[in-house]
Amino acid sequence: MTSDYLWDGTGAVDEDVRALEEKLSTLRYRPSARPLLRRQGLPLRGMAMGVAALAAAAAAALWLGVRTSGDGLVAERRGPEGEHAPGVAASEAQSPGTRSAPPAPLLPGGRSTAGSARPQAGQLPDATSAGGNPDASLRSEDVQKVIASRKHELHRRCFAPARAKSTTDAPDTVRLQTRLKIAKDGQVTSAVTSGSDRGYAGLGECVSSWARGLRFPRSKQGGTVHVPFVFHSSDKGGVIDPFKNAPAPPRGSAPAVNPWGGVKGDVSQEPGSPSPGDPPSGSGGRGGFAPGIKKKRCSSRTSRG
Amino acid sequence: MSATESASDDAALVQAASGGDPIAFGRLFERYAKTVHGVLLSRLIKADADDLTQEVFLLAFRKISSLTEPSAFGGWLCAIARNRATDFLRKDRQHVELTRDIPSADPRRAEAEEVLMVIRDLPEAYRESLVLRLVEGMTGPEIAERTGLSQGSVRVNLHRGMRLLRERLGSDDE
Repeated sequence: MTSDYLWDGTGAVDEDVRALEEKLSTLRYRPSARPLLRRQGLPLRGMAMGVAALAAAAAAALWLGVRTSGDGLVAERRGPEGEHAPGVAASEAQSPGTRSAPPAPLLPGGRSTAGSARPQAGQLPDATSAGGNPDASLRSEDVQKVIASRKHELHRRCFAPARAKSTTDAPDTVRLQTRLKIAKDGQVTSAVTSGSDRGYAGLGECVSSWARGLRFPRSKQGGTVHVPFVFHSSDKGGVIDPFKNAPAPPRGSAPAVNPWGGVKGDVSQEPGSPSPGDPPSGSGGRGGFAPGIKKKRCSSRTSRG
Repeated sequence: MSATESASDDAALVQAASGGDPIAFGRLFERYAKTVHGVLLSRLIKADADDLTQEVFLLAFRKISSLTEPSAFGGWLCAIARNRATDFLRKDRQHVELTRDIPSADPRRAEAEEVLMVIRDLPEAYRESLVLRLVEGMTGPEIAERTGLSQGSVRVNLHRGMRLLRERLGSDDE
């Protein structure tokens, strides 16, 4: 009986449960991975307290922390590579019940997409594999390529779940705009989505979360990108897939072009002449930044506030 | 060790910890760390859940003398964890934008994060039980014992939650 396996791990193995256990075990609590407790950024006195330490040591350190820290105890956050990065923390996209991600290779039974060309969250999109040009400015077509390469994931992870849970009074059109700050190394250092997702709970936050997983080509200065997302619904039964039947983004397409239907992007840049890495203005139209729009340099450092 | 023995053992440790015994509290930490982590992880990204796990214990240690019923330690501790997660989200969303919780270099981890996101989208009761079962590797009886829920509730949460999870993962995969 498979329910016994779910309950206490006995009985016939439920393959779905077993596969999920195996996959999710990477997120399991591991004492040795705990960051050190800090008091206002300073290590606890005399206590290099790892949770992997013996119980007595841990308890003693906890005791000291309580006695010395009061309400001011803080813990460092870890950056993407596991280093401590005090400025990095969760965002609004991390609130419970606001994310949904439907990865393909989750359950057994021939539904695995391992080896699929479709980019998965956490993998570098196609555009990134080119590596970019660290001496050139961020180009809008590169941004578009990356977003287009992940559009199905966006649909699968954010739009489909929101549509499934949409309320009866949900509007026919949802307009969101995501501001991405892209660092020189292509990492998204900030993603904030504005607009109303009323009726499609969690859609906006999910889009932000998805956007943070994007990785763009390296560029000279990074930049700030505003990406509008427009989700349409022609009937009350659901929202039309904004990517359905959308053509693949043409090479070198301009930012004003909306190659994937319902989603378009523009890259903002400070006034001035194009950078050396930008394509000439006459070569196929509107590659590069839209002129006259403010450009922001983006630090690789996390911004707060 | 039976559930009854474990509970009485916990109660003794709680009493000792209430009296300021750090060793006893360390034992409680060992026993309940993954429970607290699971409760947090059902609401927060892993990096934050990792960080806050210790903080929850610090809060608990500071307030443990107010716990009048030692046998209720598990439920009390989970309540602290839930409240801390809620508080963390409320304060944090005001001024922080970035998360890089999904490491691009580790597809396996990324897949796990995605599954976790689907679980987090389930009703609260289901997601907590599922995280404790599927992520932390606890059994149903163990979840009931550590969280203070009845075994019947945990069983229902697991089965209904798993059914919903199958539906969502299956439908999303189409």
